[in-house]
Amino acid sequence: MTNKNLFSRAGLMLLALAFVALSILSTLIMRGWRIDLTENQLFSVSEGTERIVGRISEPVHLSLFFSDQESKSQPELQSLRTYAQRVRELLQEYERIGKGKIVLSLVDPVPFSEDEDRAAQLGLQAVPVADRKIYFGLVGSNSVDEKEIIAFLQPDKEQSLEYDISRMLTKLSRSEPPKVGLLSGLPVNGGFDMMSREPKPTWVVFEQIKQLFRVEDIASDATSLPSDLNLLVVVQPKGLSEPLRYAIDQYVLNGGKLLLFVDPFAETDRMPAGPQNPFPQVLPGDDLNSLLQAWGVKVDMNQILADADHALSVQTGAGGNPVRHLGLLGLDGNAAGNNLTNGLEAINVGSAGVIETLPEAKSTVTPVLVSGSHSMLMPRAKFEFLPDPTTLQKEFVSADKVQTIAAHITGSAHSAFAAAPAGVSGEHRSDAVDTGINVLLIADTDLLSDRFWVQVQDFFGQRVAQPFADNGNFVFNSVEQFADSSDLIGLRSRGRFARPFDKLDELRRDAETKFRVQEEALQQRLNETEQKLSDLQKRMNESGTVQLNPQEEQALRDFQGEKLRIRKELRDVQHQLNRDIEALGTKLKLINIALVPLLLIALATFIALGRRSARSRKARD
Amino acid sequence: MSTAAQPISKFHAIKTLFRRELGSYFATPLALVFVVIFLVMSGVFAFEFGKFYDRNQADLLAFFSFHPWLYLFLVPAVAMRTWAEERRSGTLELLMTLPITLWQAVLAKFLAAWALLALALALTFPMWLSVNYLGDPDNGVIAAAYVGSLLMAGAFLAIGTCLSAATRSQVVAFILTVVLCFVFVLAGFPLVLNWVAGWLPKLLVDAIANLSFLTHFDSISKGVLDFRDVFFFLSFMVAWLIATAIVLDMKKAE
Repeated sequence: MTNKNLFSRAGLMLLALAFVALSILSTLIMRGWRIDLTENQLFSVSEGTERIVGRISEPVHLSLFFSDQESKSQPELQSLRTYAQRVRELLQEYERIGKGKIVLSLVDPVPFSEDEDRAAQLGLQAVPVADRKIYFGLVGSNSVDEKEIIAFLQPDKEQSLEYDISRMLTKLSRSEPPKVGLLSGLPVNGGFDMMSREPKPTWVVFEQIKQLFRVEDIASDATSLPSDLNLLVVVQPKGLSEPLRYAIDQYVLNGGKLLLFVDPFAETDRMPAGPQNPFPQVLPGDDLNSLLQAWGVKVDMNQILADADHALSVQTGAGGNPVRHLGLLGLDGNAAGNNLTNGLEAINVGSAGVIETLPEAKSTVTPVLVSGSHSMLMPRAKFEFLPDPTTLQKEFVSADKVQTIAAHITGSAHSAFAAAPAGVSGEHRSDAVDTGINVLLIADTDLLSDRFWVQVQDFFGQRVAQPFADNGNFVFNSVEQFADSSDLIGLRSRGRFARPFDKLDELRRDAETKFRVQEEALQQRLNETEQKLSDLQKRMNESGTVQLNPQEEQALRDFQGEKLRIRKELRDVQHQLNRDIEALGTKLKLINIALVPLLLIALATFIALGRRSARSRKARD
Repeated sequence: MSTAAQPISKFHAIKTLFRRELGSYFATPLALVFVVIFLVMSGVFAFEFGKFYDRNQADLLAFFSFHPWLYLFLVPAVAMRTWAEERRSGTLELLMTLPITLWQAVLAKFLAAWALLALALALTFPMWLSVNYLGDPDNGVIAAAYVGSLLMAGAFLAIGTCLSAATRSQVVAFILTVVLCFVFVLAGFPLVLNWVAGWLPKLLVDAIANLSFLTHFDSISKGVLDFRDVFFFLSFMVAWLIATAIVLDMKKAE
């Protein structure tokens, strides 16, 4: 072995060591150097966060508890460790922009240590993994020792990480949360389930609003509103007293902010079901159009929106095929181009009403949530008992009009009352203040109910909400923008829940339309044939002959054959529904697998042949 | 010619050799076979195993998640002949007599092979067209994933060229490369970590987990070009290319 060789071997060893050392160093040094290529800047701190952090006056302490030692030699926790790294970095980013107003400490609650006791005491969650307890939670506290915690930072909630942290900071840094009045005719605070004899939990939307604001419940039989409300939320009220209607009217005209949900058909609000009442009716809400007209709008309580562009599919019965329900819509928030709904991809509404602007309106009505153009208004009665949603499709004729489901109403308005009702004192205001009214009207209440947007799972004894649509975000955006902490809004519309293949939905819609027409024609023929058959059989019975003449026998056979043929055709048509989609799939598969390779082979062959002929020409010369 | 020839610029030397190498790939059907296999396999994996169409999600996750496994076998096949072929046919000595330094040769050969891989990757563009035709994907994420995939291919290739320099036999080079790449794909997987966790300090265990291609590729394909991930792949390639030069130097001395 030569010296040089020895040197080279040592060189290789050194190289390996240098590389490992460098990779360890780089993870420590190059923190935060990155280019975020995602469409929504998913991995960068947004301006809203910067403003929230900028407003912090007294220092806020954040402690990230992560069982670093415990998770280290656990291979199955590698992905969690990677995520913990992300969280750590994001928090360090917060600390950086906080310029001393945010103090971050990293705690590793080792088993049987004081830190672990503290984590348990604070209510952080220990998740058992491979007979160890892993802590991964965040605790924030402010100068007056108010505490906010995130019990466990689940990796699958990464999309809302920044929002969760910023919300925590918002809560810790404001002197007093805004006051929200809640007047609801629906059991949004839970109530009692007659069927299962158990108390029902509060609706998730309101549970989360209550975490951020001081919510004051207003009873339906109240005669006045609480003073100093930052925002009034009214949901499908029932049996409002005249004085309370008047109080709402005056509150709005005085510039008070109102979020109003009215619904011609509140699907989730039915009579309690029971043995005598197997198909419970939907309860009607108060008709508030007298108030609405004074603000320049109207919601017809007998008309329901059907929208073929945004219909969602529902499962009909056990093992049934999913069919599209024209009243259940997954609306796109971007369609209205409004900052309350921008970036919200899927807002699910059910049998919603439609907001019309009256011709005599003096106010400005800005759509916030709109339907597709293939829409139609259907009478409420059609939805009352609907075992099969396809019946809606049969009656559907597009009016080619974009309808408004939610709108922001501003500007001038007048009172719905000529004077204060008897027994109500105080000054009567007949016109809005100069700054105008400020009402967000939403013609649906079902979007608030849990089953339209969120799944509540039990995560080791904690209720964890996993949204599958943006309904919650839409409501929080609205409440926050109206209650004056609008910086959180931008943080919310960040992730995307789903990017489905729009093309396939289109194909499905077209196929359905074609299929309905064909199906009806075939059904018609089937009915006619069956009619002829039964006529023939009736004649046979009347004449009393058991013996048929040959023509009749032939006719009978023909009709029976015809009937079978039509039935088969019907089945074929149903199969055709998916045929276009499958065909497109096959086509794409072929293009992606074979097209470029075949072209390459053709090109290579062409070049090779060209060379050969050139060579043979040379040889001849 | 008594006067010394004008020293050609470094860049020019690399460019010339790069062209020669790339040309040699296309002189035989080898490049064609490689590219076609890569395209067909990546399409089949995405559609059949990744359920690209049935997932009904406008992203290319189903397509990119199989790249490490495709590269595991295809890149060593490209890399195995880079130096082993020269050694076997004796053209290595010839190459070394040219007015070109060792590292220039190493770099040029590596870049030529990498360009071939880049071409193969670029030709998967129908996948990108398909997903944009079907829905509305986040194209930033897709661009990042392409960059990550190319960097990962380069890392595989750097190992392959080094091992190709270490042996005369292409087959041996191929097998060794597959085995070693497999280790680097799996580092950070339970299998490897458990084995080392017993007798190495924690810092090193984390360092080994950090050596996994998958860790870095996954984090890039999320749509963030974290400098640490990019730096990992680049420094990885540089380290193996230096190793290639050292190995060639050692062999020359034998």
